[in-house]
Amino acid sequence: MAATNTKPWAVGLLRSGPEAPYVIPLGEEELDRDAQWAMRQFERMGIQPGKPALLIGSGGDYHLLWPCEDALTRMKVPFGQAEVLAADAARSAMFLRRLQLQAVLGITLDILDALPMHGLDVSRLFANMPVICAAPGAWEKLRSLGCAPWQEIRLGPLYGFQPPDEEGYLYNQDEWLLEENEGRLLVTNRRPRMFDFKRMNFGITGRLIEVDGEKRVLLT
Amino acid sequence: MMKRQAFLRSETRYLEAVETMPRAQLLVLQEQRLLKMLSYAYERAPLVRRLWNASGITPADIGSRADFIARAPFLTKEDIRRQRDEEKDAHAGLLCLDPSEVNWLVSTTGTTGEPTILSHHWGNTGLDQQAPGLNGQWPPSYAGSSPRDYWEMGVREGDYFLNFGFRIRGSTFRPAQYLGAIPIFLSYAPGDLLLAMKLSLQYRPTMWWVMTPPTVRALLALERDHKIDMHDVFSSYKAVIFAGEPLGPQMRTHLERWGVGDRIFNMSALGDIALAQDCRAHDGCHAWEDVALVELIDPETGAVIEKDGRGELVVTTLVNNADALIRFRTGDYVDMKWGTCACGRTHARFQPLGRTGDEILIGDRSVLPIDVWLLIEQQPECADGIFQMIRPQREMQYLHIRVGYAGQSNLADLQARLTTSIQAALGLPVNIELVPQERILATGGHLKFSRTVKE
Repeated sequence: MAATNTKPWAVGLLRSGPEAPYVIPLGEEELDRDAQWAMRQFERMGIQPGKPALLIGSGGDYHLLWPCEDALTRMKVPFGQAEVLAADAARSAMFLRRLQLQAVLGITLDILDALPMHGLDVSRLFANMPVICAAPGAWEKLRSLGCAPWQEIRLGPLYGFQPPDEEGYLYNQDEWLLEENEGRLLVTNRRPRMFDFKRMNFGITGRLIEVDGEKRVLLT
Repeated sequence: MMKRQAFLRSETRYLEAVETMPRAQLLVLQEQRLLKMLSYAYERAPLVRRLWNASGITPADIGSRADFIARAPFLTKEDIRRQRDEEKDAHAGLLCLDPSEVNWLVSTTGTTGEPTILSHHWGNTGLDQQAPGLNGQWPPSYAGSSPRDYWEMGVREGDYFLNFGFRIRGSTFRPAQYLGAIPIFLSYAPGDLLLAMKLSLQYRPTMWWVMTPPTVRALLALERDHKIDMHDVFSSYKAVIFAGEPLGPQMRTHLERWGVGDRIFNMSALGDIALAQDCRAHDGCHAWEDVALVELIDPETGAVIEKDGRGELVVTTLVNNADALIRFRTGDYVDMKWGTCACGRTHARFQPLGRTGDEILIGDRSVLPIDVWLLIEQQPECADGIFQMIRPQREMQYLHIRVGYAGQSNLADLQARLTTSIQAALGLPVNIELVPQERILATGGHLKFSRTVKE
């Protein structure tokens, strides 16, 4: 697909792949489609309007985060914001302590490991959390504590979300074409984006599987 | 999603007419908004109602701005924390909406304790303050007046805006997008600074948001280790927004060497109500008085100071329909100026000097960290300005300053130089305690450390 020529809404950076970092202009329409997809995933996770959530992420990842913020806003989900680093764990701890959160999205191992220093009992706290979506590392730790979190991963320019106790990461198939190539997944945008991804190799080793008629990514 | 504005091609100096509104008219507008806000907040915010009831007044007793200043109770951070803890209310009795109506929640930096929650809501539900000076693109409570500042700094449609900041106050790139600028997303992390250099050369942005003391220190290391031409890197910038701490004189010399000395704009929180930034006159951060009623008080007595000078900043939101910060004592010690600025704007402006809790009294002499900053930075081993004043109580017999040094040094000689310099400048006795600067840096967070400590 040819890239559009309008002015970008923002410029993001992709930090994985053989020639990383990739500087990617971002268009308003593509981010809008990303937000619509994020909304569907959040609804699938069971996130409901009117109840607070915590969205942890870094400003350098706004190319992925902004659609999530936009989705939560459209869903009328009040959301707190905190950074991914252990140095900012006090902020996540405060939101976790003070609010009856329905969901914690994007939690990292750095944050998880730092929470006890801020007086939080991680096992107890997350045992009662209705929705958790964790980054790799945090996901394994939460599983070991008996939680059933979703897992989020980056597949280059897009998120993949793996439901609890299910195999394979969901991704936006309307927007992205993923192809297997000698054990790696190549990424192409199906619809026009300001940065054209043509069979780009981000070093993702995996294959495509089908679960209930739905394509998913299985990392290998 | 917010749309870019198409009307911002003109080269007028001011973005909005309210910026230069004659002061008498500005105060009338402020009073109208204040009276509306007081009724709104008293009806909805339990902490506001409790404090006002305890003072024996209601908004019906307030008929003017003057009444408010004479009679309204102050709201302190302690009041907020007490309400939050005793009532187990995350919003500390300040929320004027149902919690489900809040759109997003940010928080204070947490320098003086646990961060406190600040709530935002798209739109103006319930309060419905009317223009001038308010736009419908985002909550007026949220960096609502920053586009005025960015416009004054020179940000224009199609410019690139380097977004190198922590994601704790929300999507702070959006006011720049309102002007048609295009943010470049980076993480506030040392690892992204090399990328910031590369992207500065590639995209030639006009604004760097935000520069902090740790960032300058990291840039100095990059300049040294990678032989980067910082003058070239910064050549396109019309504005480098500086935040976190006051820019020390030594650090300023580096930015001047990089060619942006005259394009550094200080940014400060306007008491958790909004942000305040310098104009091109660089005579203080503009406190937009159509979005906040701003007062200056004596931090000891609470007496209102109407003249220019030093005191504690007190703010009242006039436009936030979510959080009712009414007569909030910020704890920020500022140097306030009320007259018309050289830029032509009629709103007050202030220089942040520190926290009221930083002030040390020796006899009748008031000393703040900023008073010794330059003296410490002048010593080469202390050029990073890493120091803390030891303040077990406000009244002291002498200054006790813990000074961080870098590298190897003749400590006895350094101690003698610092002692002589500070005693000569301030005429006060001083005890200098030298420590490796990493020890002080380790006491702080990612943005700053406390400039005063009890021991």
